Amino acid sequence: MTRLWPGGEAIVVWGGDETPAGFVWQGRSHRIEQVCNRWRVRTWWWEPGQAVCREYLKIATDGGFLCQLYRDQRSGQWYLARLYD
Amino acid sequence: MDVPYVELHCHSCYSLLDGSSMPEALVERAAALGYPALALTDRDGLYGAVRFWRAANDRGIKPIVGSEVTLDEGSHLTLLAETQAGYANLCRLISAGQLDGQKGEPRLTFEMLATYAEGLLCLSGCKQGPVAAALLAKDRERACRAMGRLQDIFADRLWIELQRHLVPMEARLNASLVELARRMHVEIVATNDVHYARPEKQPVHDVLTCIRHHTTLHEALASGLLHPNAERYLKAPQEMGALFADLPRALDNAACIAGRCHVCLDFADQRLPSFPAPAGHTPASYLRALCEEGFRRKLALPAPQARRQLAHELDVIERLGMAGYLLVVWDIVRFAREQRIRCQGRGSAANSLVAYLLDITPVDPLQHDLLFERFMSEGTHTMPDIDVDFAADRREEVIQYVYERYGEEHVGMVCNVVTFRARSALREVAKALSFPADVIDRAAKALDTRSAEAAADAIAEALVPAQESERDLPWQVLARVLREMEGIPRHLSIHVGGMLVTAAPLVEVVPLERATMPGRVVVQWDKDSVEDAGLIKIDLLSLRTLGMIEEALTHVRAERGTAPDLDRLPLDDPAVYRLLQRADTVGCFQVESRAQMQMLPRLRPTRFEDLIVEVALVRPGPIQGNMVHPYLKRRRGEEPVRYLHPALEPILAETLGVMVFQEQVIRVAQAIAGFAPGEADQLRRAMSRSRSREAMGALCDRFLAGAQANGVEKETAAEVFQQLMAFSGYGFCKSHAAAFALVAYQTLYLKAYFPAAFYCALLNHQPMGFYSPDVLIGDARRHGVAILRPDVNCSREACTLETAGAAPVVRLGLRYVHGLGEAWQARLVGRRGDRSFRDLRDFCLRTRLPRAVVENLIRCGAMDSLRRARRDLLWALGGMVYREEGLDLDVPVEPVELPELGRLGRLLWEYELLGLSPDDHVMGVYREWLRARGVLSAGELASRQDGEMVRVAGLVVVRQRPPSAKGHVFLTLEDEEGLVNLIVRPQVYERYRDALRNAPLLLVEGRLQQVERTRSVLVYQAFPLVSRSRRR
Repeated sequence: MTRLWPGGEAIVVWGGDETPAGFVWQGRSHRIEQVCNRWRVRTWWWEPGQAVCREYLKIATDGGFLCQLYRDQRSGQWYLARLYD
Repeated sequence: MDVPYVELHCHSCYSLLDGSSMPEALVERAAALGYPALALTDRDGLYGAVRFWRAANDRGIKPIVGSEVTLDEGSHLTLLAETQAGYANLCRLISAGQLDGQKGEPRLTFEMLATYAEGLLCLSGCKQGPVAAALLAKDRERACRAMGRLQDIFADRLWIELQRHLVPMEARLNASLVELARRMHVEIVATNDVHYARPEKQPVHDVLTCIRHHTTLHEALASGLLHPNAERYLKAPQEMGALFADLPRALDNAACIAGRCHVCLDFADQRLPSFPAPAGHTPASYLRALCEEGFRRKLALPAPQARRQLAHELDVIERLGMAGYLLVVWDIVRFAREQRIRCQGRGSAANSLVAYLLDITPVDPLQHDLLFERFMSEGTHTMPDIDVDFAADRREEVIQYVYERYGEEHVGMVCNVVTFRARSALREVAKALSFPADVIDRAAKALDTRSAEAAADAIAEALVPAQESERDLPWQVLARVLREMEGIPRHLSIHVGGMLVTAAPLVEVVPLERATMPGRVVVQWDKDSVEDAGLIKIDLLSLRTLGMIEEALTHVRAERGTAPDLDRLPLDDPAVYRLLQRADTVGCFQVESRAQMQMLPRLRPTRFEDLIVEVALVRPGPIQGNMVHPYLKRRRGEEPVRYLHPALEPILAETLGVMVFQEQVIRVAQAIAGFAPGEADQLRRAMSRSRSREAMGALCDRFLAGAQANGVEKETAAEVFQQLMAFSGYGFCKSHAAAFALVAYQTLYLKAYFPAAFYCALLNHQPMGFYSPDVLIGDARRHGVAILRPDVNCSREACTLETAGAAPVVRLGLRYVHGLGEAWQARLVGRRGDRSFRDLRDFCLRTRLPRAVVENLIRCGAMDSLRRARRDLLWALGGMVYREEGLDLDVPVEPVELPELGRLGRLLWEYELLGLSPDDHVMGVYREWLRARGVLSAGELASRQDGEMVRVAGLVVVRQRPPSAKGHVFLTLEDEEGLVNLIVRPQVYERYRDALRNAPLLLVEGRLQQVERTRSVLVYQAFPLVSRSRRR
């Protein structure tokens, strides 16, 4: 089962912006134990309102969660996109 | 920390419809990022290799030449040339793949790879490489096998390529590749599979991908055709260092590989074709022998300096090693003449006595005071080029001959890179952006610019439409992308006539590929790359006039048994100069245009030298550069002929002190500033190109220094230099003008003495020249050559000559009937055989042509010889039932009284179906009406005086708005009696714009202007003829 947030859940990261050490979501703080994968997406440039420019991280937290985070490269805001079971 | 990294996998826009940056842009970026070297690996080709190589060398970066090749199972492999032998093998390999596959789908086999592997380094490719693709398909067996095969072929010149484009599935693939490499003892190397210099180019790349797959951005994204991000740019070494921090070996290997590669793309020492001279001869000695023979044959009364000139030219030719090149051209021309294909050399080569003696060029340079150094001299860095014109309809045979003579491996046609231009770019980009088809169509048609960049500006400013629904379309995005499309290659075509003939197999110098024309092979370089690589091409061009001349001679020969040798005509025939002075030059090469016809009665040529000046001078450039008027004035004695310095007199006397010819520039530089011939030619070249102040300043200094050393006063020298500069844009090559003047002379001669043959040949070689067939026919009639309409019983496909009493007449061919294609023409002639068609029924039954075609034939008068009115025939046709092949029924037709088809009706049908009227003129219909209103015919105009107000009317046959004329518009009207020239000032044009732009029949009122013997009407008012008559 996977929980997916299409718009992304805004989160606040700590310990570095490029590769954060952890993040806060729904009041709880999670530490990033491992970065399993990293990729970038840049597309939809032809619809200026909908352009996507993101860097994704697939991480494992200290609580044993496997998540997908992404950073909107233009605004700098981080989001939680997906929670794997 | 300095990361020693070199990009080894890089695509320029010469990976067609894929790479998005010019080779130069990639080099610039690499230099800015501090790369010591850069590779270019375009798909299945080396199209941009020369540009890349030169740009890199200019920037101090080592160029590495390679290609990403396609294997027959569809996978990609990256190959780099390590040595010069490797480069030759790369060319052979790419050619093998290209020639073996279909056009546009090259395919290499592993066997070919094995054959040509020496000197090549192999990188395993992107994720479409044979190893990676197998791993992605989870087929480790296949991956190992592929690796093994590559190892067999390349041994330790094989690396596993790793790319990190930050896409999700990469991590696993790369891990597998690293593991496989370790197990099989193969080294790893990092690349970035670059497709553009900067990430900002991603939109262009995406659009090119869409164009390549004929799809829109939405669909491409959905189908996974687009790269999900913009990481395939030329990254800074530090960036690559960060990406591969865990595999520093991969980065080191990239630098190592780069260090091993050394190739040179300067083939100057291989460029010249070698000619297989007959036994006992070297090319040089054979050339001498041929020149001797030519000398005896062609110079009946050799001028004293002829011997000296010949010796000098042969000396230079030999020192430059050009004997083989000249012999190759001689041989091609010899073949053409043997086949009765008319040809002649043009351009600067006509300056050479050797070329004349070899029958390559048609004019004796000694007779016309031409300058060999304009063609060839030591000390220039540019190679001489020989261009030869051939009769257009038979040039193909000559090209075939060259291929057969020298073999496919040594001959190639130069290619032409077609780039995106305004309309094509607009259509394709808008399609990718999902614009509706009708919007695209309208926008494309509204564009009247040629460049994609200008189109972008037009869109940004003006093209955004009024309609609400269309305003939402992404016009700004379209404009942005269009701006970047300028100059991006779209596809290749064959250059018009450029051929390479090389001593070494061409296929080791540049890869070959198939052209669209079957059996035709092109090299992957365009003419600029060919020249930059030090190769020489021979331009085999086509000129329709030559074919026309040949045909005219055939007619003359058929009629009289013999024809004059046009190449040996005395050049002083009074009939020719009479035609010229009267501007009676419709149909004649180079001297028939409106501008020429206006100038001829003022220049009044009396000698061949005058004709050369006429050809060189009457062009937009010199007219604009205000060179023509001084010359005219001096000719009429209105202005004294002055020379800035006595040394200039012998050089400029022939043109009355005005600098007209490029050869004069060279001579002036030699005489005043003491330049050597090669230097002088370089000066000429630099002047016509340089725009920068520094460059001009440097040239000026050199000139003045030389002049001073020569004892010429500084002021005088400066003035001379000014004159040279002013002239530099407009000068014409005298030998080229002479060669063309000769063709002009030949056409004038034919018109004067064999008019029927002349017009018949002219009508058979359309479209050609300045005027449409209907003007040519009017001119023919005025010269006493009757033109007969096409006739189902007398015409062949082409126009022919018939003897009707004393003089021959021209019978129009069936090809002039609109809607009657070649197949129908052939059928008509074939089924007629030697039995004329008796009547309509006989015609239809025997030819079974479609009804619409028969109607056209009736309406244009092709059946007039069946002696029934055209309307009657149409009526009868309606009553006939026949199928194109099969049984028929005759339906009896009621006889009916049909109104006669009036003159206007007939004319309209003829103009509709023939584009002309063979024996009448539409203005004849209006003549009475016009005369009643004081409108003059062309003939009547001739007797009016300068300054009179006149009215004239006619069919508009020429409309010109030359950019150099400051908004003035020139028109030519035709009526039954001749042509009338009109001049329209800009304000008048604006006021009567609609009539002047669109009306086919025009009525004007204005002032007659006679300047010397030229007449034109300065228009004050203009009206369309037809609506005016309807009003009255």
